[in-house]
Amino acid sequence: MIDVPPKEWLSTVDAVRTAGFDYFDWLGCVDEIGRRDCFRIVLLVRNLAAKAEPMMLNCWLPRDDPRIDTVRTVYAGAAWHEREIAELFGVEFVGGDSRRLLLNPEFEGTPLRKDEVLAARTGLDWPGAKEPGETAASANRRRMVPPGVPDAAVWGDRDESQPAAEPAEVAESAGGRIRRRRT
Amino acid sequence: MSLPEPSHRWIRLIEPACTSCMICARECPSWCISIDSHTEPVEGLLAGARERTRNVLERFAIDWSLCMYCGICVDECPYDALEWVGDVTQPGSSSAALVEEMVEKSEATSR
Amino acid sequence: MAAISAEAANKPIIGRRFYELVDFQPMRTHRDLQEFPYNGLVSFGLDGEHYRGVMRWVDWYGDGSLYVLDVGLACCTLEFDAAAPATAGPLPGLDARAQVAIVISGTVTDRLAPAVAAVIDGCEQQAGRRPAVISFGACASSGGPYWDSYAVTKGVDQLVAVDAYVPGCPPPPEALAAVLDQLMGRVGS
Repeated sequence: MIDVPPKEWLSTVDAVRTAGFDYFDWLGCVDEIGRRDCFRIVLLVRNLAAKAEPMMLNCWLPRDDPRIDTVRTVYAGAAWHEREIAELFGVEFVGGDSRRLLLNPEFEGTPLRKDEVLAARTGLDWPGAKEPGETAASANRRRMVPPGVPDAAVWGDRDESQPAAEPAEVAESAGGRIRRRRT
Repeated sequence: MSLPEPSHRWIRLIEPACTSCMICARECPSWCISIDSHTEPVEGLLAGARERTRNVLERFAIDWSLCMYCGICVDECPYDALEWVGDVTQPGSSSAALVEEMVEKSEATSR
Repeated sequence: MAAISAEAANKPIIGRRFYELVDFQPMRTHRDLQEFPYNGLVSFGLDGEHYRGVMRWVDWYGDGSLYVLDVGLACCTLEFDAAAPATAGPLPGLDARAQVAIVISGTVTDRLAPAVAAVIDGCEQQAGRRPAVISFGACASSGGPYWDSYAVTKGVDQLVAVDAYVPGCPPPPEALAAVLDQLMGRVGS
């Protein structure tokens, strides 16, 4: 895995292709919230003729302003992968195709970010919220929350005197998918 | 070569074994199990023994329109109160008809 | 395409490099796509565009009494394939008493939902009668295990009236055959 600074992304990818890695495999994005305040764009390309290991390139983008050059001029197949990342993570590909790929034009939100809460689960009463021996979940007792739903004190029912929860806090509360910092 | 009899087609509740512990409802990834229960005091204790209660199951329902037949509920039940059977789950004319109530309402539970 | 050398074929696969396993070549597509006759065409409009497609129906009992169309969206369509007693073909001219059924097999996503509705409308026009709509499997009935997704329609009954809901993930092929038999009043045959 090679880390590439955002400014050098397009030139590095172009150089990699020229070096013989002309088979585009995939382009993905990882939300590294909780570990670094970044999105990590990952590109995997192969050199089929040389029977070598595939090349994986990483580019770390700041989470509050994720912009990166498009590589669809180098690998045409990357265009769809970039469109998917753009609509699901909210990453901007400079010079890229800005059309939606999978989501409806009216869809709002960036669902694959880890601080995006799954509204359907949060809105519905969880059958498992009841305790053994209950017919209706009692309001006063502290209830279990299911995976995917953040703690009410963090997101759904937060004390109004407190500021809004940090994205990392919401992501951590919603299901533990967030990775801890290594200290 | 003969194929084995199909067995993982429907899930059945063994009501006497269920203690309303809620584990199946909590582990179900599709949220398709609904359980209602209440507590009742245990009768016939020795004189001077502290009061004990037990759970009485009132309602156990699986919404088959959501169930993905993963079998987590069957695996997780600590009392083996759920089992796979080989009959096919019945279709229905509405999605509400696919909610199967597995506890018969009786005098005791409808208090 | 891919070829494994004799020497490579004898070694265990685990721990070996990808390039040791196959002589990999990118797939060529659609070289040999055959032209098929354009009868049985269904056409419908969607988002201002005009679409045409060949819909293929299964003559379920072999006697022209019931034609069944599969809207194959996901895994349940494999169970439809297993249940179908014949290969599908374009819809011929129908007897006045013939019935038609549309089976929605699989997850309806919000993006695809208008297309599913348009296909059902187009098929109703083509057949000249209202089809029985069968929601096959958990996803088509309610969204199934994906009910909580940001992208899934919670059941095809959000788009169209459904006559029968078949639970299962996926339902066994016998379940579809039984539902169609019931629909046709052929229970027990």
